[in-house]
Amino acid sequence: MNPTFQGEHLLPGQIGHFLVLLSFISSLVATIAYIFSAQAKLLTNQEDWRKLGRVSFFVHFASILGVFVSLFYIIFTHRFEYHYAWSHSSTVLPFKYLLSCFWEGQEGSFLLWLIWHGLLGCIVAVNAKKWEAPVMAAVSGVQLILGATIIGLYFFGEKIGSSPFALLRHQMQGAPIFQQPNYLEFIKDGNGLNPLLQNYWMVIHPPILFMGFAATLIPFAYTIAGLWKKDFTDWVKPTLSWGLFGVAVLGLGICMGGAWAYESLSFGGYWAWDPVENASLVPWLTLVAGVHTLNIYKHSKFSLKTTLLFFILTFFLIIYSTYLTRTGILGDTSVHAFTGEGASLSIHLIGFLIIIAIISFWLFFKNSKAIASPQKEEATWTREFWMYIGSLVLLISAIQITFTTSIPVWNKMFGLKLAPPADPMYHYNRIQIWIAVVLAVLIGITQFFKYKNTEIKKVVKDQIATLIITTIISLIIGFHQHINQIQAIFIMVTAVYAVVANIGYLIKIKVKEVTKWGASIAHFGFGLMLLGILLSSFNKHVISKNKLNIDLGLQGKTDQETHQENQQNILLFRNTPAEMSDYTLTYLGDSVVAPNHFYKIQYTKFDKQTNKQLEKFILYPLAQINPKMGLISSPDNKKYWDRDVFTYVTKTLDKSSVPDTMQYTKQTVKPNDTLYFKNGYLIYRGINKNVSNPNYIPEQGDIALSTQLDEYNLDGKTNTVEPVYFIRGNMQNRLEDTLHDYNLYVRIAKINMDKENTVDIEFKQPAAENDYVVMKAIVFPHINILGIGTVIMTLGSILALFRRLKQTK
Amino acid sequence: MKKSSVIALVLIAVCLSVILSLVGDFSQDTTFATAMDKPNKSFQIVGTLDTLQPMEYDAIKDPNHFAFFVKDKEGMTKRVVFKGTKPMDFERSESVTLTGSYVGDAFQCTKILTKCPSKYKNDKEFVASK
Repeated sequence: MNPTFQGEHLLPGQIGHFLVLLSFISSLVATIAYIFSAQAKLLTNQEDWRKLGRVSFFVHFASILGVFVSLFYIIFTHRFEYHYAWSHSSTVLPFKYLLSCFWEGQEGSFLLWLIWHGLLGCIVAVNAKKWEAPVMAAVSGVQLILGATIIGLYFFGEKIGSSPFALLRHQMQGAPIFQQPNYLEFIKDGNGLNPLLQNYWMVIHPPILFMGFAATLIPFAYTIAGLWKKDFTDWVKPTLSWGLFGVAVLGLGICMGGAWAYESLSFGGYWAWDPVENASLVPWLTLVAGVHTLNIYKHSKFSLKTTLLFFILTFFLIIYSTYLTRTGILGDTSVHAFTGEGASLSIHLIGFLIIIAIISFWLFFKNSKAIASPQKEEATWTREFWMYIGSLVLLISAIQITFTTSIPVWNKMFGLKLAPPADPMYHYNRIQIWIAVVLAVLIGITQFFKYKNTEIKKVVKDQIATLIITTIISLIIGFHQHINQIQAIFIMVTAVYAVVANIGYLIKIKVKEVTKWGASIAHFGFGLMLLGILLSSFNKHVISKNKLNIDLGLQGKTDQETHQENQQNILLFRNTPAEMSDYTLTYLGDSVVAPNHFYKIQYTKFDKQTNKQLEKFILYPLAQINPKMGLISSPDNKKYWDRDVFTYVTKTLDKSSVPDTMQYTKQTVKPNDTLYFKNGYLIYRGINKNVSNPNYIPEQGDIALSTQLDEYNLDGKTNTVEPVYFIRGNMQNRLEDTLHDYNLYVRIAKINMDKENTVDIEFKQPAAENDYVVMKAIVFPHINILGIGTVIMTLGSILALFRRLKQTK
Repeated sequence: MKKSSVIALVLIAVCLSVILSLVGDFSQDTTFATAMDKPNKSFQIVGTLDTLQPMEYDAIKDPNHFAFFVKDKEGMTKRVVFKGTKPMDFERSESVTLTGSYVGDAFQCTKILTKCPSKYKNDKEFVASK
């Protein structure tokens, strides 16, 4: 029945599959051992079970790493007998993108996630001391359920998970090719990596984001452990450290996603309220809220229950976001090319969500009565009260985003037919702008209050200078940037206030202790981010239609205006300058570096009076004409200190479809003779016996000659063309050379073999109308402020984390 | 009344009002007939490309004008105008999702989402907007 197939390498897959099973079983053993350890009454029993749990978890982590290595080996050596390698990689893929194959597919991304969980778990196991058993029981349990997504085995007729080591011939059973024992000889290459992922941001963004996802597990596990043991005494410090770690890493991952969208997608922005983006933002919001309420608990004993609920909610939302983005339920509503992996993963993840909910709430309602709340009411003018309000505002933000993002889920659950908002930018911004305004104010003022009791008069006095500086800066920015809309003014003033107040707080209150700066620096960064978002989106304008100050997304507009706005593409013929805003644009030509097709767009700026050239630069937006996905356009950016000029191709010409009726011009030349074409001239330098044209591939017995022609234009000598003439097997052959910049084709017609070394050169230059590109250009003002704000916020979170780590010791 | 209860009530009230205020943004998938009844109002229409009728796109004449015909779920075929470039492989699309409104004698759309049969195992979608 089973014929032997030639050329298959089954060993790495068998090792990998064995390790998958080993990791699954060891996580099961670890879970059970840690549970017994946490429940054991006798100290010796506790210790024995704990040791077994720890060893099992280490085995689990090592085998997950082994799985990763096996799969990497298969991808690296291009073993296309494996389905994963075949569908996500190809032989032409550069080495740096081989890792990206992991996150294109479902199995690979779950594997990456498991690795991070495993690594963080090992760190917790070694450092958690008395918390090891209950915390690691939760971690191991999660690994058990998550690990099941890659086992790909049948239990009672139901397939659980899908193995990354499945063979191509098993996945595509019945395909005639697999009737042949030597089928592998016909599978020359894999399907390749989605071109959108072939970008440096895509090499680093997914691992960071998944590490952020993984980091949310630890506060969740501590929450479970705390409720389980009804003990929250020395629970705060590790939980707070891991919470801050999650805030920093997940926040960084989300921002990197924005950077990727900005730099390599052509939807013209860094944030689109796309469901996939929302799905990672919402858990970050609830995690930030949880870290803040935990700080309240640390200082005032209030809001422990809220904190626990936030950490449970955060982890629940992480799994929920995986459900949204990986099971295909979002369907038509997302631009992200994630794939629907079918019903079995859906059931798996829904089951996971139900388990989290049941265990968490059962523990919460059973044991939270044991949590003593302070009897007296919180005073209004305290830091904890306003931090608590801030956390609830974050929760409102999370609820609104989740509600809209989940429309496909509501449709499925209640049989509705709702369509997502037609204009998501307007829809989300309408609410989130006001949330940002409230948060910015709270971020600015709350730290001036003290825990437990504050002298309100002193706070007011402290605020006077801050408010004056805020007003001055706001007026300057407002007039300079023409900010004339109510929401925008609110955002600007409050963001400036948040920035000024946090700097002021650092200057006034605690100059000495650098480690205490974390929160203020993070909040300062958040204020800068808000300001950067406002400035870059409020005055974002499309210059390819020369219309200034078009507001995008911050206010409602009629359809008529939208239609006008949409006329934003400009057509450029090759070598025909066109005016665009302050610039003169020239499409100089295209070049191909497989698989990318670069379009060379020259921008020049002239002084209006003197006509002197002020600046000149060339942008290379690229397009991939992908046979599977159509036009993939990636922008190129000119970065100024105060703005980005963002340029991308929206329509390209398929040159092969344009009939070329142009005849060649023939000219007989001797060395140093000149041939004129539209944009310059060529000088014939003579015959070469050593052909250096890279497109000529010599074969034995060839007689080959080439002619060197130097190309000159107004700037002097710029290029050389080298058409080749060769005789192979009694046949004359000509290899044409092309100057892409000028659409100039040159070939040798005849070598005359006379005393003067004359040759007949043929050349042609089809009309420029046959070559054009349609592009769009957008200016993002002050986008750098957003970037700097992001970095500062991350650094602030890390600083706060270090402070907590120091305290833990 | 305890302050925490007040906060909880305010929280619930804010969330409800936020969500209710947004309900108007959710469009329903609809047909040309509905869109024609209410001109200038934005709708989302899912349909198929009518390949028997010509598509107009000439980048040289106007790079921001793309017109084509779409048949909606009820079988009504209408002319659609998109002020932008023609999405790649538009001819091959299995279904198109249009967002826009009916103005004059054509559906003016601001966003096209096309679903193409793909050589990849799974469908990929592209958005052409603006």
